[in-house]
Amino acid sequence: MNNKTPNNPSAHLLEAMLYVLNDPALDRDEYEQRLANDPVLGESVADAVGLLQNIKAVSGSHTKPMVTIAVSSSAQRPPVAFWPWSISIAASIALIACVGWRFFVFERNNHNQLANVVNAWSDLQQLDGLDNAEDAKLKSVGFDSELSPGTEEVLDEDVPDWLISASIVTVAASIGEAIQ
Amino acid sequence: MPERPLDPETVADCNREFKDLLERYAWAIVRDWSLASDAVQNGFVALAQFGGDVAPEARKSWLFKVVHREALRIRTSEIRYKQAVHDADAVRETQATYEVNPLENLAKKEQIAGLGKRIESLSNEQQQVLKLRIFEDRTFAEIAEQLQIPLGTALSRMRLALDRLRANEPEEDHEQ
Repeated sequence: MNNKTPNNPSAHLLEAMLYVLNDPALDRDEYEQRLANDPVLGESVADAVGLLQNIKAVSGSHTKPMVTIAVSSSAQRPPVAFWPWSISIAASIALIACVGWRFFVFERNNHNQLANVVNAWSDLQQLDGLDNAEDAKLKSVGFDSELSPGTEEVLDEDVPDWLISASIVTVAASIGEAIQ
Repeated sequence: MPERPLDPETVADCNREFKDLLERYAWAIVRDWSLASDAVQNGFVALAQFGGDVAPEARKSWLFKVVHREALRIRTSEIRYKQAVHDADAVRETQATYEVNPLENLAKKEQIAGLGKRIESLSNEQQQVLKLRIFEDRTFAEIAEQLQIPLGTALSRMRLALDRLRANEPEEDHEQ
């Protein structure tokens, strides 16, 4: 928009609305200089603000009652309470991590034991040609050695301390943030 | 600047008459209702202290100039302005006294209801520009590009819409 002010209220109101809406079509600095010296323009700006308030109120009246607008009109609004979400999300993540860990360990141990049984069975197949006594002895040795807990790494199913600590820290951090 | 004080009753009359107008004006500069209120309050303090020599017909203009200066002074020291200048929606956060006076509130509701009808009575083209500019926060350049019309036409539609919305009397049909 050019810098000359057309001398009619209609053009003044449009210019004022451009200023209020901060539209780049208007040179804001230049307009403010003119505002300082021309109270008529100032009145147009006040009219534009009033009109914008009412237009926004018209749109707001369809979505929320006026009382709600008044209650929320304080310059210092209370911050939106996000902490219940924050804490519950942190707690959920911690719970999922713990359950996931146990599931992972359980699956892994099962897999190891199954592999051990398969290995033992294949060993037995190789011993078919031996005497019965030795066969039985070897079978016993084979199964005992394959299935004894000390021969394979079996993971502890308990949730490790570091994971518990991390979960506690996460939840505590969320609570701390909420308190602040 | 005149330096004779103005009597309190006249200051109170001026306050009743011009306060809302001046607050809306100051809001446009500082983009915050509490800061706007501060600027206007400072203006009336100045009027009380130095407004004795201001001619009655010049008081409004005098107040506009003082409030303008005060608003600019406050704005330069306030970070809130920098955050709010791009947010025309902050105009919703009206003065805290909005609901205090039931009669004023009723009048305001009637005014808003009337405005709603006038918005509905706008031509489709005018409603479109109004919606895009005020509710969707597009610039006029973007609106012109989107609607494939010259920038001047977009501005002209907005000007006609504003004229129609500002009018208090019932509107006749007219085209942009």
